Amino acid sequence: MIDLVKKKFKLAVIMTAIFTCGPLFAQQPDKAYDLMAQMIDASKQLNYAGLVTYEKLGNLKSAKVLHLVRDNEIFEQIVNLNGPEGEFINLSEVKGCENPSVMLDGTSALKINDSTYMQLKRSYSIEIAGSARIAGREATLLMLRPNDAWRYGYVVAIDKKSGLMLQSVLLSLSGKPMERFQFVEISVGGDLDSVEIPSGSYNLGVNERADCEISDSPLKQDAPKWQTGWLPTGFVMTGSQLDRDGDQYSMVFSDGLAVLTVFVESVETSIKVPPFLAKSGATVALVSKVLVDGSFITVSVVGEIPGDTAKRIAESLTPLPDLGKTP
Amino acid sequence: MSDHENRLNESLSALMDNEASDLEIRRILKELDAEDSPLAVEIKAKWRRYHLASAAMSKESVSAVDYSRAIADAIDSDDSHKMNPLLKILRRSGILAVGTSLGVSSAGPFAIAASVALVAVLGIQNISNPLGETNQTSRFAQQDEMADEQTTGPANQFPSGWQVPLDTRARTVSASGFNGARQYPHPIMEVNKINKAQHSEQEVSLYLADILAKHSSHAALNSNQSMLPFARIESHETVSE
Repeated sequence: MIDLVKKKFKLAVIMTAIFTCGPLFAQQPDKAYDLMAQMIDASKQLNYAGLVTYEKLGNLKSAKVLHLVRDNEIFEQIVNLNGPEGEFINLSEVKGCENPSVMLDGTSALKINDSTYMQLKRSYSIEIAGSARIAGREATLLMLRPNDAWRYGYVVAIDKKSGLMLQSVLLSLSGKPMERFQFVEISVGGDLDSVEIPSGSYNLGVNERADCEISDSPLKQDAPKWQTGWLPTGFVMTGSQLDRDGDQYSMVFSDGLAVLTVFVESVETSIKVPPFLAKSGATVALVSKVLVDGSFITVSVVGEIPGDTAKRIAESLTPLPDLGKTP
Repeated sequence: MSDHENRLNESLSALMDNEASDLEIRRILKELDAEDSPLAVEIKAKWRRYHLASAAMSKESVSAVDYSRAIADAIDSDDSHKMNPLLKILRRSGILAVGTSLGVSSAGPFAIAASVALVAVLGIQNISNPLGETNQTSRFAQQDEMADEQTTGPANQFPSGWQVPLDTRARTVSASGFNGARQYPHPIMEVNKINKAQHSEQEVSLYLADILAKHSSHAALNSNQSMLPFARIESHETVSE
């Protein structure tokens, strides 16, 4: 008897679950969803190398990229081919990287799931906008229009064969392209699947082993020290950390595509840095001052967002009341 | 709406675009002859609205006053228009020698026709201009010009392509100077004025490069856009210094 009641109860729970999740499941067959999911999976699973161009403000930059995935480590290398010589290397440990991001599932790579997609859908209207040929490959164009004026829109081209993103054009609020990232040549898999990760050839810089590598240090997810009073809809905090010396506190927010970082400096650094606004293409860096306990603290908002958004976020920043001392 | 009405509407908009055939013009005029028919009233109202819209689009002054009646009366009272064309020809050929001088009578209608044509041509140019978008490639180039213009003084110390207005120049936004390069007035940031002497440009530049690089690696992890955020980093030497 009790068993029967239990069974009925279970059934009721399941039915309720199905009904409440109904709208979520209804999104599943969405083709745009499949493409987004495919794109994100591909960028975390495939080995690829190629040549890319990056264009902004009429300047064209070309670079060689290498992307290798080995044993839960993602090795990324980008070498400038024109302009000042430069090489950038990033090694992120996918496993054990405790970034409490909604984008990250507990075990491994960045994964798109229903909540991510719903979050994206709240901020952008996503639709398939035809196809194009990029880097000699057939690609599907995906148009992501922002639902408000606090963020930019994108047109991305996704390789039909591999699912990799071959092109991304960021559009201003008036719909004009502000930057364009595009592969001119790409090779996926093949020999790259067995190539060793180049080691030792790079010296340690600020960005190397970013975020996750330092996860055993006090860097990962630190207790929040500051808070934002306002964020555009859809933006959630994907991480916050106090840097090694404890003099810079940063918070990262994302709506699934656009990312912005808020930096709060120590009193010492704050003195050295004046307030200013810098812009390049789609990236804006707003450095401003907040008066805390009689001293001006430098807070900076950096991201691929409109200047107004950065300004409004900067104005809404406040230190949390239980903060013993400024970072 | 009847077929006839549809055809009339089409003719009317063709006339508005200066593309109406003689037949279409005659069709409209014929309908208008029946002064007080509902259709004639509607055509007149429509014609007025079309012109109002076109004037608004080309930013001409818009008036709600209807001059058509007064103009029609004035034309009616002008003797030269009342003359039978046949009479005119006869008179010109010297068969009939009556009334007013020839010059005035022939220049009148011609002048009106010419001015209508001129207005139509000007109108069309004005309407088509704001719609004629320059292509995207030239947009990129135009942005570049602006960037050069803004990169002055200390800003040159920053990574290439970065515009840093250290002291906020409160400029009045005027679109005319840029000739359309910036259609949307840029919001002016309220950044407190600072004493430049206090801060070393080198330090500010390093700070900027540092936060940009950190932001890029955060973005690479969170934006779902693969390696694009890394491509945004300007120069890595500055960062590791």
